[in-house]
Amino acid sequence: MGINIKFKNLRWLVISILLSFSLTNSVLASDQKKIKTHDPDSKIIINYENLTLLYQATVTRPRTSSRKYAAKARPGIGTKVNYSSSRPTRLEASRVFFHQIGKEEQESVHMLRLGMESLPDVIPLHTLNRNEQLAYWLNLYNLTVYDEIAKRYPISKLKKLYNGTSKTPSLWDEKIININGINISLNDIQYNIIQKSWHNPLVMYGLYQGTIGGPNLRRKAFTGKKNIANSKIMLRNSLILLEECALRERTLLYLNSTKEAKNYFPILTGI
Amino acid sequence: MRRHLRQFANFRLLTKLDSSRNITPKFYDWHITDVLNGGNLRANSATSTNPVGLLLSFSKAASGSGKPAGNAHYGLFDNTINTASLNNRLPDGAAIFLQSFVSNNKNDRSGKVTVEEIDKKGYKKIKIQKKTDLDN
Repeated sequence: MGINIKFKNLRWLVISILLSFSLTNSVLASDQKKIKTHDPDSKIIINYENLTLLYQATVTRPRTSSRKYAAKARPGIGTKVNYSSSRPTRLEASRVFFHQIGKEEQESVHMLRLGMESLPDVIPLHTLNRNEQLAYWLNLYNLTVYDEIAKRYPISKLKKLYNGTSKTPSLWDEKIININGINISLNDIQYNIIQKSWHNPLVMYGLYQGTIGGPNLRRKAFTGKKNIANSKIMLRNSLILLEECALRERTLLYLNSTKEAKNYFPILTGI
Repeated sequence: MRRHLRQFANFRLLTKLDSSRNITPKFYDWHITDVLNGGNLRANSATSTNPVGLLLSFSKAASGSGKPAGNAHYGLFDNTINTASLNNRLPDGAAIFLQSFVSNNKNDRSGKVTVEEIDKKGYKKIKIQKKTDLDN
């Protein structure tokens, strides 16, 4: 008898777990629907002037260089430490004046980011058209990366920050963005929202990663006026990156991870 | 992926694409996109551990014998940016970057602009001349 009662209890426990799981799934699905749906006839235009002002004040224009390796550094007297990069791309990409961002500036950047995060509370995203939605996600992603790097500055390389270590997870996996009460990470925006909704691989070149090898940060915020995915902005960014492909013989495309490449270029898995 | 690359590739890359078997995605430069490369100080001015380093860096600059670390194509101690970078103790990489950034900025370039009035016939002649020059 005792075994039968235990078995019955177990059965109810399993059913209740399944029910709760399906409920949470349905809640998540409804949330995803909220994000995915859009209004093609929407005439709402979001003004990103403040963001543009921030970028124009702190970001330089991207440029190319001769792509020559730096000569071997001559050690100075008293020390042999040399922090300068000898990479051929060391003089390239758009640069941010992170060293000029003090505590007050950092706070204002963070306030701007919080404002961006709270935007869907005021204007639900499903009331926007697709171009405006894409512009919003790209701007939010770039501003979050900007803010997080400014917090952690000074750092010289972002490899550990991106990949994470045994003690700390990757910054891109941390759920640091709060939208409509849902915590999401940078990777969620990139892989679950942007990549699933916009299949054009050019979108990838609008996601600033904070590194010289990644897409450049523009001096103007993205707007939904034009179809961003096909715009010249993305093409220019992609061309700068793809020019790097010609630099080395073995590696042809520089992406953040194989995961990213596989998502955008499924043919890669078959190679 | 090849198709995507071919859309944007230049001729040099196209030949590489056609001749290559495997394409591996790889992130190339992990350095931060700032000016100071992580805010590190100059190699010769580690004053926290070596106070003499600061004096040495200035004396080297004054004598003109200083050579920047990792620099092959740019003279560091030539113009005002470089002296400013020294006074602010910018790292070498930052000084080189700023110098090249300013020198390549189109807005700062000096040049001569001449204006001539040309009628339609003259414009046609110039066009023909350009074509012949290109052919030759």
